Amino acid sequence: MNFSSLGRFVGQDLRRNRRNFVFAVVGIVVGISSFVFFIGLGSGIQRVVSTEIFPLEANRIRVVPRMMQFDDAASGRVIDAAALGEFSRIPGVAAVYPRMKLAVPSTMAMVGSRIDPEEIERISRMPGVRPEWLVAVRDFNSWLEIMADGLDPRLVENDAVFGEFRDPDPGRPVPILLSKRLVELYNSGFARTRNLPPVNDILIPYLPALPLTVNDSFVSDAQVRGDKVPLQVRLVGTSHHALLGGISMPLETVRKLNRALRGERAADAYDMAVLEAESSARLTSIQEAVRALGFGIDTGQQRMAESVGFVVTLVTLGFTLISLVIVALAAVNIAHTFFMIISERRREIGLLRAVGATRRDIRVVFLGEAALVGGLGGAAGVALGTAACLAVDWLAVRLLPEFPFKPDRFFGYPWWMPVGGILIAVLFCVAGAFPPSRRASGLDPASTLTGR
Amino acid sequence: MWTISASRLILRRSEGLRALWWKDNSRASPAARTKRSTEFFALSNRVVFPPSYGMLSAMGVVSSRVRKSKIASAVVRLENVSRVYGSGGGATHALRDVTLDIGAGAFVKVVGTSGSGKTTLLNIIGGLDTSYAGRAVVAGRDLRALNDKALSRFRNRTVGFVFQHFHLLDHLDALQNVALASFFSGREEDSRQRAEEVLARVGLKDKMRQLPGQLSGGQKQRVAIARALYNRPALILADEPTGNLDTRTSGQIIGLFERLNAEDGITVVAVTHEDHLFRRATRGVRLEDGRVVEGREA
Ligand SMILES: Nc1ncnc2c1ncn2[C@@H]1O[C@H](COP(=O)(O)OP(=O)(O)O)[C@@H](O)[C@H]1O
Ligand SMILES: [Mg+2]
Repeated sequence: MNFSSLGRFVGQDLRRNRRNFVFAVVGIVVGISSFVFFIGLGSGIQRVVSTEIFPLEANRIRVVPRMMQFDDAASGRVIDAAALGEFSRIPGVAAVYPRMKLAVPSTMAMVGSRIDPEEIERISRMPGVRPEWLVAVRDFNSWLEIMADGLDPRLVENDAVFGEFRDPDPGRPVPILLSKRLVELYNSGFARTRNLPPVNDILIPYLPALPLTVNDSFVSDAQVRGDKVPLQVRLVGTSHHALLGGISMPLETVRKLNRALRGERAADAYDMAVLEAESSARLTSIQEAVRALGFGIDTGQQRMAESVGFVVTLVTLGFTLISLVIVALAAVNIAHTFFMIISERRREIGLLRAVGATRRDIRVVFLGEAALVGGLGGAAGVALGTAACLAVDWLAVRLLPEFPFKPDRFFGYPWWMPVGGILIAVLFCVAGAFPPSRRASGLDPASTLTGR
Repeated sequence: MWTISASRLILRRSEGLRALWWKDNSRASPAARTKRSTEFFALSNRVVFPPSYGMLSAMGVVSSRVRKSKIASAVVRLENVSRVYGSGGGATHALRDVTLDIGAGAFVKVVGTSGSGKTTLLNIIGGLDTSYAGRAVVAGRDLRALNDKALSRFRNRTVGFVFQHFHLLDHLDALQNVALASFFSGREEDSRQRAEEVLARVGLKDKMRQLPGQLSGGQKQRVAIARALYNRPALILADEPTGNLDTRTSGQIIGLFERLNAEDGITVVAVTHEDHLFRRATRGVRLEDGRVVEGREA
């Protein structure tokens, strides 16, 4: 029996058996649609975790000075220019991005009334800007002590989207980056309750430059020696690499400030370096080399991402398993339906054998019908599940209150989801039809035709 | 000894030759065909010497094509066939030591009381039942030696079954019922055209799109016969084909079998209770309690 005859025959037969399969197909549709739903939700959450909350960089590691250890002579090495050179010579290292802390505290006086009224007037004309924001900004009055660090511009070149991130010419505002996580917390909590404008991609370009006083403290004068350095800073983007509780400047700016305020040594001491491997396969050997040089590896971020990701995967797996159980029950139903059909149609099967069907043909006919039932049920399930994902996504984005890291899409739609859904449905149906098809093919044609 | 029949001789030939004979024969005019078949089978059943090619061709029995490729055929040969259902004390001996030759082109009626083994005999000849003892060679094939695929192919191409209860699929119309064998034949053929052809042959040109439920008993049996004819079988096996029909309709159906036998040269083996209706049968075989008691050889 070739494929096209099989197709025609199965089609003919299935049309007749429609009613028999309704129940089983409902089970398949429900099972597959919940499969699609849970996979969609799981992969959506996984995406938020790994790109927004704990961004994983598969081919990068963070090198830090090693913690003091009693029995280790190599402990206590600082990351300096010499160390950076050693890092870049480790085989497999493609790039080294050092980070330097600003050695002195800084303060920022955010006083709304001091902002140029013309600037506020300009912002107020922007679409989407609420009047109450302007009121809140004008009334805003806060003195902050701020930490700062310096980042290698190459590391964040994709994050600084609203201005060039490099050491500015004298007198020009210093470009800064804020931590994505900090901004997220500010937007969904702090700003909201105080009617302040959010910091987002629409508003960032219009934010005014703010005054920053380097080498100044509200807390303690102990660290403050020498003159204060007044600067203007302008936000040019948000980054996962930016300091969580402070601001990040271009590395060169921080180096100059440290040199001027704390001397040459402070201009050559890095608190961290990000090492980029040529491929993630080289990471292990790079880590070993780094440790051998007397430095430590900061794996906190990675471990968090991994453990949260593991939990999400586990939960998704659990729900997926439930949907597979539904599909399996439907397959049992299919098996039952086929057993019924076969015992009703013993004579018919005998007749097919009489006109030339082999045992294999008989089996293939039933398996083909099951595959078609599964394919149709699976496709319907995928359609229904995807529709449910889209609907819930739409509702959740609109109805749920703002919260940190609230994504604009809760569901993921991996390409293999529909394919997998249909494949699973077909597989389970064919498996369910297997025992009855064996029985059908084993029927003795002579006795079925005489009705024995 | 030269006492071997032509049919026995022919049985040793390769199976393809028989088909060739029929193809070739089917091109001749109906009258010529009838003449040839009768002559040939009269010959093949009685001859007590091996006929030479020259002699057969001189009689117009074999065409030039066949002459080139040895000789063709008789159809059924059973040697000491027994069939037992069950085992031990409850065993039923449906056939006991049946030896039977049926020449190509014969019209054989099989009679006997209910339970005498008629259906069992037909099932064995048709390759539906291979659990017998002895030897059954049909159209050159030792049936028990065939695997499922070859046996199914044999049922598909070489024999056509007709049953008392028609066994039509109720959800398919006449055309679709007739073309059923096309699903399993693996032939690239216009199944619709062929189905129309055989339906016309059985006189149902105007009922092609009817469902079985819309047909009378006689019409249903004609559809079943058309289905049996679909793949141009050498042999039709009919098990009480008129058992569910009234006398008048039975006569028509039997007439149809007679025409298929005479005009198309198809060998017909029909089981019947209505002995008297099959007047044109070339031979009668009587079964009693699984034994052939009459008509072993015609
Ligand atoms: N599948 C079977 N299982 C058991 N006994 C059977 C079976 N088929 C036929 N028989 C028995 O074999 C005998 C011959 O049956 P069958 O060939 O159908 O006879 P007929 O067709 O002449 O009426 C009967 O006694 C019948 O009961
Ligand atoms: Mg019978």
